[in-house]
Amino acid sequence: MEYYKLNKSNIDKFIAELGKGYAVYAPVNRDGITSFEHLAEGESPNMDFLLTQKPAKEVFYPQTEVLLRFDGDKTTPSKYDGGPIAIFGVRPCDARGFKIVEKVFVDDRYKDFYWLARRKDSLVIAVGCNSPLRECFCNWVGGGPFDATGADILAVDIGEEYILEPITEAGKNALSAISFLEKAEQIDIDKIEAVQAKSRESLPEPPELDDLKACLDSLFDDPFWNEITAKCLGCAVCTFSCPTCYCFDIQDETRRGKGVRLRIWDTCQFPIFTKEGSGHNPRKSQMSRLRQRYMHKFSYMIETIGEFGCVGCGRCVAACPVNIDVREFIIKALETARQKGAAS
Amino acid sequence: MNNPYMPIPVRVIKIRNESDDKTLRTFDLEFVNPEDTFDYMPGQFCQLSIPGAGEAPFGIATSPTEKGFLRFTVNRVGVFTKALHEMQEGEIIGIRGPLGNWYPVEEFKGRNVLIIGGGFALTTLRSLTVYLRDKAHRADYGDITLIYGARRPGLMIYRDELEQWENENDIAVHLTIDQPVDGWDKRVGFVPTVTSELAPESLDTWVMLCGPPIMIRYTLPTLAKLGFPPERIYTSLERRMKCGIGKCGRCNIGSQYVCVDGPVFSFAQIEKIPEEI
Repeated sequence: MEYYKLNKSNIDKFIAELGKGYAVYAPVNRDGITSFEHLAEGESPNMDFLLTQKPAKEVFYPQTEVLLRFDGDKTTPSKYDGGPIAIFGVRPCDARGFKIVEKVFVDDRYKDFYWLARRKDSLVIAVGCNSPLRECFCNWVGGGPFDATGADILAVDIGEEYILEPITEAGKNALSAISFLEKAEQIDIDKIEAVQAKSRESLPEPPELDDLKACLDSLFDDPFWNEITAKCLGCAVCTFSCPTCYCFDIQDETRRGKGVRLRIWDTCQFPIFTKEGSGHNPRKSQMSRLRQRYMHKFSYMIETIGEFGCVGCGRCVAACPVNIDVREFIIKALETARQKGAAS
Repeated sequence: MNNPYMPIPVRVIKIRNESDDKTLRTFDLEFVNPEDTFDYMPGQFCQLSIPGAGEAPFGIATSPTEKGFLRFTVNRVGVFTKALHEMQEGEIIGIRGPLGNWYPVEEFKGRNVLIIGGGFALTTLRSLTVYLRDKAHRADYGDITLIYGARRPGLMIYRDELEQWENENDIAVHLTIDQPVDGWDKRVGFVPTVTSELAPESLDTWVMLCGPPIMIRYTLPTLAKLGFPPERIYTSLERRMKCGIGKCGRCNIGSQYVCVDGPVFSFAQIEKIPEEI
């Protein structure tokens, strides 16, 4: 497919063109929190930081969302009516995250009505990462700083310009519809390789993770978990900042027969998540809850969706108040299990 | 597009107290719009919904062979069940389902069936028993034995029906209570002990076992001693649940979601799950 180029001085013009057919979401810094938001008329995306604090999943899966509306005896489903969504400036990790959440929300058995409504006819424009951050580890878990999984268009920053590569048919159609965009010349396209190579070199060599699931399964009852999880406060910032954590709660808010049924991001890190009506809680300790998070992402999801529930964005590493690092956990798990395997 | 979060309206047509302490109540529901009627199998569950009170999952106590209504027996323990207990006949609530898998009735065709229940966990076992005894299915199965225990007679659910089954010749019913009480002339003793005493033949027999965790824990070794392999012992698991359709991430035990991969599991499956059930 043909490549296009977008001069950085034309980003607003590009966004305005996209805005003719899409509700455009892009990274912004509002009230000191960086996140993907619906751009207001004339608002520019903020491309000064690599990763937003909040994951891009919330564009398709809002933190709080109305499922149903109640009025007396009448119950009506809430309907998304914001039109097709385009996300500009999402990083490859977040774009891969959409695919992973989608495998859960849209499976052979049940299709999530609300997720699909926002995903329908959407356009994902990912921007590759020239200078990955210290906490980035996308290359450990099947991704990469220029991985196009989940993207319709992949943009590469070559200095003054972005080179735009259409990945899907939708991406191609969207780009060809924007008349001011110039086709990229071979001399520009050639610059991509150098940018990508430099970025990849800056990422540390990943460990071999083929047997991570087997290692974790063998460690389920090992005291290793106590050590790994001892300092965890159970604050759940790791799950709320995670692009692939999808768990939610459903709560009703009604007054005099009128109201809504909401779904709200929830977290396996809080005791109430699994506490039953009888008072019984199958996950009483913070150890068992953090173990659940790691087992889910690196063992169970291999069984349920065929890949890790982690895209290596490193948000959980950056946000953890007690510096728990998932990479250290992975390495420690591999070491412990391999030693144990060797010993037995 | 079908919205799996949208409850279907059902009318509460009959309510009755199921236990003498009024903590257990049975609700018979009928679809407000007959075209909403769904097919289901014994062991499946539904989410019942009351605007403002939320939703909660309950096993279906009727058999698909009983037409025209769905039955649920509900223990009053929290916000939702309290709201449901306060409902009056004629009121309308919501239902989503049927959800989850069911007892493997096709797999054990031609075999004997041992049904063991305790407390109010007889709901989907009632569904199963009625299904197996239905004239359309009874010839497909060998002997049917039911062992059911409750702490005392007043907590025994579906008691009239159970006593009626005691007089039928196509099912052997053994009712037991924990401690002797005046006027009780049936068995006394815990379910594991009674099972051990009755010593049902394990050859060619499949077991469906539901009850409080303590009962399950002590009945399993008894069954093992009698020669039942874990592949032929099934149970229905419970977990706190929200969506019921494998999305909200709450009810997993290991890699299995109780809502979509269960609630019915064999103990051979459960043995492979790392987390405690």
